[in-house]
Amino acid sequence: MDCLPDDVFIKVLRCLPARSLAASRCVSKEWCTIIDTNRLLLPHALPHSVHGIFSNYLDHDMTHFFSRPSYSTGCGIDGCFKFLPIDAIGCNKVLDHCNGLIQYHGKISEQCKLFVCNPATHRWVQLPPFTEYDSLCISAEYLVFDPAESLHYEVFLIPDLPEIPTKKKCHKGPLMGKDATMEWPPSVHTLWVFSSRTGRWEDKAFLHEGHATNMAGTSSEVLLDSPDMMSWGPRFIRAEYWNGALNVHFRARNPWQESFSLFLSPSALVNRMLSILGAKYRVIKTPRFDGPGGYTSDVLGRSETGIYYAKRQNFQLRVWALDESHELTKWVVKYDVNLCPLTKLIEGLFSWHHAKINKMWILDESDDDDDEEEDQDSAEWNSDDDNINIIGDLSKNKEEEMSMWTFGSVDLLGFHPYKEVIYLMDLDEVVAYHLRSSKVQYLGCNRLNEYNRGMEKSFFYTPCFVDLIPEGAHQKSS
Amino acid sequence: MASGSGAAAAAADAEEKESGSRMITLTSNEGKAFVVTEASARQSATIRSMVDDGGCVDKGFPLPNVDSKTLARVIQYSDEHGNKEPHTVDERAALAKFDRDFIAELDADKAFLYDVTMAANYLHIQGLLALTTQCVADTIKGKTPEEIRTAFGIEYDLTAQDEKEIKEEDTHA
Repeated sequence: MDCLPDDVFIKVLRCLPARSLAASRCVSKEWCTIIDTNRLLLPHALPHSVHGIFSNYLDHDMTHFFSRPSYSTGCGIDGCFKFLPIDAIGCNKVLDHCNGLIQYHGKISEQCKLFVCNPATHRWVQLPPFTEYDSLCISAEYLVFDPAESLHYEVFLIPDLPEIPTKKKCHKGPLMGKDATMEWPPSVHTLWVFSSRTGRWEDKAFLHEGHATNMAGTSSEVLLDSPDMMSWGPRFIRAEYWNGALNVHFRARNPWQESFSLFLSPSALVNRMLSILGAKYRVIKTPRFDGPGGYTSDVLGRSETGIYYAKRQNFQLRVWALDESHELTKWVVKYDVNLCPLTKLIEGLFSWHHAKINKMWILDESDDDDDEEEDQDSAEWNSDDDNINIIGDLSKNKEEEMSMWTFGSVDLLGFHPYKEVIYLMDLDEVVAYHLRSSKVQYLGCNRLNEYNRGMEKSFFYTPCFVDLIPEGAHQKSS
Repeated sequence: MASGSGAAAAAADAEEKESGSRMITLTSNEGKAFVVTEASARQSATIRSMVDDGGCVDKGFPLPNVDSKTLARVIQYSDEHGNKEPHTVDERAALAKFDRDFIAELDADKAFLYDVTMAANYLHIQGLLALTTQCVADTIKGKTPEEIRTAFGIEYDLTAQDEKEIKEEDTHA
């Protein structure tokens, strides 16, 4: 386009729906070339539905896949990772998921290995060993993959954040606080990054940006949860990739049990603007309820319009959206939900259990074979069809109060990455709650036999059938 | 504003207070100077990083890619968004209305709309860039290829063979 430079024109084209982009390809050679070379149609070609949930448990070292049975067989999606050449027994876990690619930890001959793989294409690659891995405390590993930007992926290792010195001497990463009086967040935060472009691990420095008002303190004031797995889950909870930034959610162990978001704006893989501004990071406090506390649980995720955060206190669920339109990024309340009716609905499931309610999804190791037969009628069903298996509408009985003796413990599993839907679990029964319409959709029972200390984290799997991972058993050597 | 603890936070706070009242001069490519509040200038990530990296605030910032007419319009946007932060529902609604009116006016003069879009891109003003690119996209949306060519004055340079290939590729895109 003559009137706008290519980089701006591409931003315009990204605002268009698929149909208009297809029409734009036929306008001229130039337009067609711009759309094709920048793969602008690709995001529209990706399936934007959640095909299942990978769950890690606190007291069980295997990941399990909770999905509609036909998805684990019919579409060739292998949620059990049988295509990986790993030991049958051992700590085999999904570490992260991003737009269809999985970062996986598995053992080969009892040696720990890191993989990046795609359950939809059955392609996998073993990452080269990270030489400093053993000498450093790695708190978390995250995968970044956005086929709309590039088919290359990156893996981020986040070194430990400051904590009370323990007996077990822990070597910190460069520039991380050894001293409890050190300023936190540090002005430079160094992470290790593997890029499929270079095939190597490199350290990358992120400069701290942001306001003192958002959060600041010394290491001793921003102590994190114990690195050991606690009943309330890991200190690094989840990371979401959105708009060229990786948003890592972690929990602090200060008197308020606060949690924070670490925003990493990596320069290598994102758009021109960020590479000009350089690799930066911000720390943003997650919001909390006013007034006295109670039992709470929370979750951060990507949803329809950006980064969302949900927190539950007793029976109140509140959902915030991150508003980045102003210089000072802040959380804006989007929904307030009374969960009492939901708890009643789920309790009701037990009495309906043998009646008409279908269990749409099952766990990979579930013994509930009889459910598959029940499901024959709705073979085409997927969680993204909003009208199936609705068991209730929370907007219709808002006034309902919980009786004193009822103990509810609704777990927040996470958000649908493309819709305003939050997945909730109560008494191991999983439902999709549609925030706009207040409708509750029943998915099934995610109970793992014999293990019941709870869920560590869940990943919402959205398959992607394109990747650059080499075919077959290929191992990177350097 | 809540004050943070720790020396850096205190220093940053002090700087914050000091910078709140600072004025910044932006100069267009025609040499015309515009004096704006720092809050308004900080809407631009480009200027923000220059200020934070210790750029010379007193001397002002020359903007060789932006003419006076465009800069005046960009400042109108960043003043509205930078100088007053909306707190109430009403204030947010007022700001949304400002955006609607602002873009409706620009939409009537396409050449000027493109100038403002390019300036927003160069200055990295996210909100303004989203507003203007969406506005340009809306002129493409829902049109046939022929209508798009007319709207943008583009010459038809595809052969029948080209068009056939493009359409075939499209089916498996």
